[in-house]
Amino acid sequence: MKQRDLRNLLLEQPVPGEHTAEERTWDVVRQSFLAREPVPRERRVPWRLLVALAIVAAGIAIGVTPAGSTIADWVRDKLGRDRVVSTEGQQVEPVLVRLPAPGQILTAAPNGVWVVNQDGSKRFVGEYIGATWSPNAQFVAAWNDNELVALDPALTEGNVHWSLARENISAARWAPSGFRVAYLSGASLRVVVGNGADDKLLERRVAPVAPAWRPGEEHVLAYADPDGRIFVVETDTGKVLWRTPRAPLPVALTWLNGEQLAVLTEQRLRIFRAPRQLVSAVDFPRRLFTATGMVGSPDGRELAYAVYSKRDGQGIVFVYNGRQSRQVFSGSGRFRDLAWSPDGRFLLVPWRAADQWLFMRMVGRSRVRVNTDIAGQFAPGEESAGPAAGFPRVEGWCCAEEEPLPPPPAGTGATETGTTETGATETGTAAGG
Amino acid sequence: MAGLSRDERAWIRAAQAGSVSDLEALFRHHWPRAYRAAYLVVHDHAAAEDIAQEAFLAAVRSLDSFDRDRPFGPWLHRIVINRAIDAARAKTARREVSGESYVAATDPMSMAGGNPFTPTEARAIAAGLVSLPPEQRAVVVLRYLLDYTPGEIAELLELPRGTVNSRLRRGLDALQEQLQEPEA
Repeated sequence: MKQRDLRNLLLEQPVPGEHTAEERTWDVVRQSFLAREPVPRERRVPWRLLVALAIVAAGIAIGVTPAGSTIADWVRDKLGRDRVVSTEGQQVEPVLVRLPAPGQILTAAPNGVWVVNQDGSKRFVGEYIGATWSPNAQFVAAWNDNELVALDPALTEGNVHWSLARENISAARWAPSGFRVAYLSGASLRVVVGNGADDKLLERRVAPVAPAWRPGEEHVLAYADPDGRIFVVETDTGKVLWRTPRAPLPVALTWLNGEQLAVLTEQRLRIFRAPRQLVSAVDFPRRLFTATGMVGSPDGRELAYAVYSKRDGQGIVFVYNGRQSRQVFSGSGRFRDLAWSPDGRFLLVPWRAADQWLFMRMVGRSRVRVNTDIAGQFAPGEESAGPAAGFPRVEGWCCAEEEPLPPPPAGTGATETGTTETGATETGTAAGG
Repeated sequence: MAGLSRDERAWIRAAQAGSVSDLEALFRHHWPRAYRAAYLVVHDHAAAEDIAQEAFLAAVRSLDSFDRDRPFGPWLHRIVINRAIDAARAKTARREVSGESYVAATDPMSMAGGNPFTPTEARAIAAGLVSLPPEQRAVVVLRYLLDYTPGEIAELLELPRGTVNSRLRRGLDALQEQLQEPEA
């Protein structure tokens, strides 16, 4: 075998997908290039000295300026308009009198899962560690370490419709159709029909991040693998529609609408459009910030996300509209479980460090309703465990009006009866509410 | 491997100044071999796309600090090959042999003309390349696809030159054996 012949063979051997991969990659590379912040080359060497001086100056500035001003400067410079909403002079409610928008809030406190009604009343759902709404809030999927249940939240210690025994359950999410529930069991991702039937393994190893169903009646799910790749999969067939390259593990995934997927890692917010085209990105300076949470607005036009300043312990909440981020709040501590009201008019910012819920009006005149002593309302007597020890995690805010159950699509198995591989208790009811 | 061309230097300089079209020229120039090299090492087109894409994204991230007097190709190929070796090792550990994509890739009927090998020989060599350990595969790809000398490969992979030579020798011997074996 001549070496020249081997060279020709390697050069001429057809490689599948070469040209389509080239176009996809060029899109990604171009977007990354456009999103970067070029450093003027001729200033590179003097910058080293200047950067060192700037770091010293920044350290001094942080020590003498009010908390948050450094963040605000960075936000103004890098992310767009600065619109910090102060809570001073705002309406402060000593207890949860009523929610400012229709719907019910689902929470997970140390003692279990609760529903908060619009009139401020609360109902204990059961001793679970996490929960998620069904699309129209007729059902709740709640879980403990070793059990996933679907129950009726309208009933105190809700009537359980079905249950599944699985290990280390977390991050269940109900599909918009109501006919599927995705959840993590240990490191694996599973999908079960909305009536508890036909529980199946979708992926053996995934990252510990809640999966995200694409809006619509089709059962399309986004999830992250342990290498930080995002997969978008038709769960009924297992077909991978598209996936992204390896990246740091995401903090959260959410669909902006049926077409764009937002992926938040600690250092970057990326928006992808199918198939895997990166349409925009926001980078957070590694040494200064780490992202902590994200949620999409109900109309899919905006998303709220939070970052945490490592230097001064401040959290900042932004709203991103696809073009720019605007800051809506900053305060001490980390903000994680943000929630939009179902009508999109309010953003709930649970502020653990202050033991408050902030309802931030997102349309019209800026307004904040502040509810205090949240931990004490959900877990009285937990004070000995530390400040805000009983502060609940917000699992979702849903829904303004109950809608009728969708008819079960043919072949979904939503009305299937019979024994499942899991031995789940079946009711024959499609939990599509 | 050819050194830094004037075009390449100009593309890098313009891209550093913000020119998308020059970045695209640089990308289009290097993509075919970067992707092909990754594919020939990892034998999985999706993984090859990931690897090549990550290498180009790394290039974009490092663009401002990139020394224009250094050739871009070796810098890119070092990332591609090292990641492809890692991916191929991981794949081997998971016992995932992507037979389907391999068959599609080596369909002799789709080979361009001008190759001295018969379709059977081409298939045998391609199969032989798959059967090599990832490290040997990488050295063969660097030498015969990307045209690096053994000395340059040693520098690229941070290996002793003797190791590169022995991997090349063993790789070529294995491919030769594949050619001599009767088709199954």
